Amino acid sequence: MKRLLCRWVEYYLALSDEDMERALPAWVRRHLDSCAHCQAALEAYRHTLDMVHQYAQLLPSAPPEGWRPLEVNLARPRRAVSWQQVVFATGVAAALLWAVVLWQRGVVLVDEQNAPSRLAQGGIAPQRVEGMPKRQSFVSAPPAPVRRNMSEPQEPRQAHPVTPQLPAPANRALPATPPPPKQVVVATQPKQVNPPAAAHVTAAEPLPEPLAPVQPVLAEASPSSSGEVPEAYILQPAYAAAAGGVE
Amino acid sequence: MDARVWEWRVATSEHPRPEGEQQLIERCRAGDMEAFGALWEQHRSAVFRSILGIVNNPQDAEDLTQEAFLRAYRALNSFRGEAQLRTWLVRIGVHLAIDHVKRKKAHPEVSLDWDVGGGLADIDPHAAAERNELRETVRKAIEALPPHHRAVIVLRDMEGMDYSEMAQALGCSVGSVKLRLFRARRLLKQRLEVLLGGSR
Repeated sequence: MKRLLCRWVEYYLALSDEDMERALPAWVRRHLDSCAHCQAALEAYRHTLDMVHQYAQLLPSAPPEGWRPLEVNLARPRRAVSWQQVVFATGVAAALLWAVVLWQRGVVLVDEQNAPSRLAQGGIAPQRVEGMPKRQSFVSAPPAPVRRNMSEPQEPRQAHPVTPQLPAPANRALPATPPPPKQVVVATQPKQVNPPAAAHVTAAEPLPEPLAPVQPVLAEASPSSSGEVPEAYILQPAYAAAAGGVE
Repeated sequence: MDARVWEWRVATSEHPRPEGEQQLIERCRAGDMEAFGALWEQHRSAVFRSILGIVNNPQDAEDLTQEAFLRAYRALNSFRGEAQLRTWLVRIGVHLAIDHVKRKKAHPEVSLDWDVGGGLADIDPHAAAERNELRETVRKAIEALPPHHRAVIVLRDMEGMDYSEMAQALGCSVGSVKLRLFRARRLLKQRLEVLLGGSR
């Protein structure tokens, strides 16, 4: 078994080159003089280095003469676009496409959620499919509530006809039912939303009596032909909801 | 030690910086291919021999030398001049060779033998046989070493680099270079003892 000192000496022997005699520390040289095992190791390392040096002499010193493939390779055109750029551009395009899709879906959802309020504000009435009994026909909402003089005559509103959206076979399969009579809500008295300001009320004048709540009255709009009901008092369901009155 | 080997070591251990090398580098950076050709002629031998000592295959060594110079040409702007250009080129080649050996170890191939030295001019068949035997023995012993150990053997014992150059070429400290060289030489000695003992 090798001693620990011999292991340390072997480190110096392995690293020593042709000038090993001068480079070795004094304590290593003293050990070499007294240790036959390390002397044999020294000879083995010398022989190993000698063989490696001879092997290095046998190796070809350079590539074959006239070997210039470097020019060919340098002249080889490089790719205009690297694969990293392709991957990056693809990712950006996919992200943009996904963002556009999400934005479109978000717009659709917002439209669906805001459909009643837009209807109340005089927006575009959504198209209904014929065959749905309660929503088969309706009266379109008026434009945005604008305070107008109730005494002015109002243009008669027209109900938008419902266009069938179902395909032809399904549409034909539906029974041809006559449209039910239109129902409108007639309020006897428009509801006062904001109470009168206290600044306008003088101390001498008595406070006005609170108005009675609006009592909706259902009346047949058709085939009523009397035309007695002023058009201004015809509240559409959506209009009434927007005004905070009856529904 | 053989006088011829000693002269070779002395010749390879001294690497004076060639005159005008910095000018050649600047011209290469400007795209002058003639200047790069001059650098190629100056350093291709050192890079080729370093790679060949690691991969032990001249065809692979040629390809890797070409690849090393290509990478050097593309990365020449990153060369700061702290080390010698030769050391920098050898470093690129050694790393390529180590990666090649690792890749080849995972996918071994049949290595082709190559004719070195003498050739038709060698008229002494006995000397040629001894030389071939020596070459095969050392080659097998080196091939048994791990790639990093092969690299230190090649740089120190074949290319004659000093420890600081080896540290720059291998990207480690001088102490690591010494420890790696100690282990490599010990393994090489043990391997050669086994091969020579078996052949005798």
